[in-house]
Amino acid sequence: MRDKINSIQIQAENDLSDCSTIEDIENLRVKFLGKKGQITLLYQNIKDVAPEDRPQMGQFINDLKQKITSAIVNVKDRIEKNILQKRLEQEAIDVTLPGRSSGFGKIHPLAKTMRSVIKIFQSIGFSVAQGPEVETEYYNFDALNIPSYHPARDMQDTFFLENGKLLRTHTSPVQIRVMENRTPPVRIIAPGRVYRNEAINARSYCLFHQVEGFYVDSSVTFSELKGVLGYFAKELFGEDSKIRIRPSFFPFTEPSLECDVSCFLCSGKGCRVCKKTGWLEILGAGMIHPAVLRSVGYDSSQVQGYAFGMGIERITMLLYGINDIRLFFENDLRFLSQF
Amino acid sequence: MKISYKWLKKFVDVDYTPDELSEKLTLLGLEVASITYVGYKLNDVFAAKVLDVKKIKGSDHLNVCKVRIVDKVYQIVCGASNIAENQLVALAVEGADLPCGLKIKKTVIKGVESCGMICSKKELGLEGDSTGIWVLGNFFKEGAKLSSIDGIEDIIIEIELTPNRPDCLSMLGVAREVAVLTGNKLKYPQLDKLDIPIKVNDNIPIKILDSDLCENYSAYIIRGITVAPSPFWLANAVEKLGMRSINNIVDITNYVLMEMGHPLHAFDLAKIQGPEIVVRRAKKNESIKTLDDKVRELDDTVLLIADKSSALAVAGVMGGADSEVTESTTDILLEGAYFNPVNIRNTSKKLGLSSEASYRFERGTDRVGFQDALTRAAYMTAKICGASSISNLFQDEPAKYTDNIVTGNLRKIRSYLGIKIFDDEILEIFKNLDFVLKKRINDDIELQIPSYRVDISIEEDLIEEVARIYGYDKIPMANPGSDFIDPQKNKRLIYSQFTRDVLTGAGLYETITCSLVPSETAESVNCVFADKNYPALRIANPISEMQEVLQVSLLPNILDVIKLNTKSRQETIRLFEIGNIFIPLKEKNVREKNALCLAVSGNREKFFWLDSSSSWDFYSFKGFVTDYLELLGFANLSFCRSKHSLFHPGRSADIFIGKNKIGAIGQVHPSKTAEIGVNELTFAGEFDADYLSENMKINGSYCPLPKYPAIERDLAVVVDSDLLFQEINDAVNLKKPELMESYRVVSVYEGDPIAQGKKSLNLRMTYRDREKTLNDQEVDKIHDDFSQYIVLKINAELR
Repeated sequence: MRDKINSIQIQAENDLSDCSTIEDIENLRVKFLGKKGQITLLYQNIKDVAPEDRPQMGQFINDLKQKITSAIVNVKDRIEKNILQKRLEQEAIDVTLPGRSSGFGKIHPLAKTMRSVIKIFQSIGFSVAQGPEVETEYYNFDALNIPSYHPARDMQDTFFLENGKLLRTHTSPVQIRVMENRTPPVRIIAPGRVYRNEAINARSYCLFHQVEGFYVDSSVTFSELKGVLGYFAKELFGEDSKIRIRPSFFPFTEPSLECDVSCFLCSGKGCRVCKKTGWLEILGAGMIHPAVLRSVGYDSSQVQGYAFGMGIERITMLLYGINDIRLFFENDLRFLSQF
Repeated sequence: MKISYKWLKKFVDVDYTPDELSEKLTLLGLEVASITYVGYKLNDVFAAKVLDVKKIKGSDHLNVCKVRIVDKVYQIVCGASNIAENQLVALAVEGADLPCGLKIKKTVIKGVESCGMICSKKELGLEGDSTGIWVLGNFFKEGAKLSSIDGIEDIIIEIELTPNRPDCLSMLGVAREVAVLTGNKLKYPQLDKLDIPIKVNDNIPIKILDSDLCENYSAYIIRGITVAPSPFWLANAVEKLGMRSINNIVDITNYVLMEMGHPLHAFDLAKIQGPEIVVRRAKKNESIKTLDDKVRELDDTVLLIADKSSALAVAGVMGGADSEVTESTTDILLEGAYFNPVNIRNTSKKLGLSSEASYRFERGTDRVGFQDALTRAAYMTAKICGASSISNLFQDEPAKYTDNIVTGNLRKIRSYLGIKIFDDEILEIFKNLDFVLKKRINDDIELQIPSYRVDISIEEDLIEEVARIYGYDKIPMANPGSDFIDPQKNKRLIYSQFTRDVLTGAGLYETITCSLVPSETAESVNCVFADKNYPALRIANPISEMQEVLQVSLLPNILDVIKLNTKSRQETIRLFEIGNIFIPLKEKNVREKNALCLAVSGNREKFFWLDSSSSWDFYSFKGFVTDYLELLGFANLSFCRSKHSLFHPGRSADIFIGKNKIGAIGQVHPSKTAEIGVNELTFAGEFDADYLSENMKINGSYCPLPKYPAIERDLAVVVDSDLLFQEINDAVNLKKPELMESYRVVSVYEGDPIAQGKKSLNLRMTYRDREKTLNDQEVDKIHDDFSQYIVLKINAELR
């Protein structure tokens, strides 16, 4: 019996070392531990052993069973690991090939500039208002101190509509509409689309986007206006930006100014874009003309304020070095994807 | 407007270089656009006499000329057709380095030696374009070095004047500003000394019939003049500033126009009937032939200068051809006047005729100072044109000019600008501007404004003058006002920014297109949001057929963008635009609406090397749209077939929230995609952004997570194949059991074993009680009752 046990043990060890698949292991398990397996047979044969030797013999068989069982687990484990290893090797791919991209979109460069401009003014307490693009002559001109005979109407060519209205030539009508409905203090910016009846070429388009801003209160000063413009320029064009303001003329402001920012392309040294002047014209502004304040029923002896307006296309073209305004409205994805 | 740097120096001492001056003028509000050096590099160009001109054999246009500079004769080959013997010409000799870039050296042309070049004005940089060589008048001396002649070398500064400053539309006007800038004294032009008789009584009657349009009309009569080409200095002066030299009379009026800013006009006295001058409105059907030889039809809004019988000139705009000064003229009437700016502007617009004169009159001229300009021109004419006599200035009884008095307050000036400036400094600025202090009581001041400053009428104008002269650059930057003002939420802005973020995150690119479209474009598409289609609103004065009407939909433009990008071989096109559409209403009214447009074409995803990317289909696009709307907080959407002409009739839907139509989506009509040559699987949609921004809820409240399990039950029904799912959905929503949490479509099936003309729909309901665990019996009861209801409601069979 003892010999038998030993030989089974040797056989099991040999068989185990020959196992290379899960199947082999299973066959081995059946061969030794199955219902008709050799270990099971040993248990059945124990009755042939002398009764006093039976416990010891039983112990031997138990030990052997235990050994084979744990050896099976170990070998199975090893084989599974090998199989996994092989699978992982087989599953290896070229991780350096390009991935499957669905791609993000982008907001339009004009919307991007618009958003930056709005954010800057919101950060210093301006709220946003909007108004219609189809306007009346009253809001677009008369209320803004531009009477019908005024030469200033030559400065902006207007699209008139067949119903007697017009397409606003600037966002300033929003200024009137807001002031009509609110009492000072008011601090507003009005972004929007405006139209000019101009031939389309690289420099001009029949529409563009403006941001108008104004602040009316009891003691708003010209130097505050300069401060706001200086802050705006630094925020949008960078810390080192300086502004230069110079007298200009708009019928709806008095005094009026034109604001230049130091050329950020050449740091003010003079280049092609700033026409060697070191300055880039970016916006017009001024103290709101008392006639405009009166037209909305404000008492111009009690309140005063400033207003400014800028063209988003121009600023965007300067910021990115775009040389043809038509690109904005063609919407070629090869263009749009660059912003 | 162009000004001459050299000429300017005659009126005021200027120490600044042209560049410095330009910078200072710009900061003063006279924006300098360009600085041009003219007449420089002419050291080796001389006035030379043409002695002899002979054709070169074998050439049809080349001549060999003998040209003399005092005692030296040069042989020159010249191709100009206007060369002739005895002319005085500009000869560039060997070594000359001309402004046009030519370097002159000895050459041999057609075998003939040429020792220099006879120049055109263009080659000398004196003119933009020239026909032939420059024939110098008798005003040059043979042998004179061109660079040494006064007026040849100059610097022309071009100023872009704002319309409020007509007082600066002259050399003198700019000189006045420079005088304030430098503190140097202004030197007025002096009258020529005359040694001819002044005939005090030589005048003709002047009658101003419409004094509202003409406040003053003054004139001189100058007799015995000779009309001839202008002397060089005169012709050169007007030409440098961009005008053509005509003859001495015209050039003098133009010279004084440029010098003093006031338009003047000369008539041939012999052609004035009466003789008398009548300033009156035109009669009905009256016409005049103007100097440009065009006949102008007039009406009673147009002011005329007329004689006894007919019109002589359109006042302030252009003279008449019939009273024009010609070579045979001997006596002239030289006029100067002040006309109503608004009237001149209207006339100029009406006739489509503008001139240097109308440009100034419509901006406002010096109603007092113009007589000085008139006298200056009259004396110049007498002197230069060899007059035998001159009259005194005569005029109709002029309208009374009241001084322009503007009041201000020194404290307000300071507080308005936010600068620290002493009273004396402010008053000094006004003094330098020739604003005369008439009265001062404490801080209140009263100033008399010179008649040429037509832009000064209110206190704020005074403030601008102080700021301008004080220097905009010296004004400090103050912090923006700190008053707290309730911030106003702008729903449209919040909506559009949110939408941009979401849609770009989902891979869409934003487009911005032109809201003005060709009329065919607008006609080809109906508005998604209109019940009735009126014609799109037209531009009354379109500049091109491409921008003729206001868009009624964003769809056509976005399809154009797809077309463009398809052409450039983009494989994945996913776009959106937020913009206004203009919904036509009856009687040419219009409702402006903010709209959102989405469009996709081509592959859903970018190209990938492993497999071909899937295309869009209606359901993938619809799913995208409903995901977006759900993100905005819109859940209860209902759909029906869309009748929009741009869409595939069987694959498009209108979208409603309650009764509001908030948009339409669909596959673009195959005939449209074929027409524009884009992928047939192109999908688009347009949405009412006004509604969406007004009603969006992106910050909803939190709902606790469920603690108890849900139970699902299926409902399979067989219905007519053409029944829209929307009907089932409506029925479900109408009587949705309280414990039914949600439901979804699991499958839709047509074909065997389902009868022809029928389809089977499988719905899966989810039931949950938030308070306890549901048991099967409870759910079965609810589900069976609900199923019964649905089957009856939609006329279906249970499967």
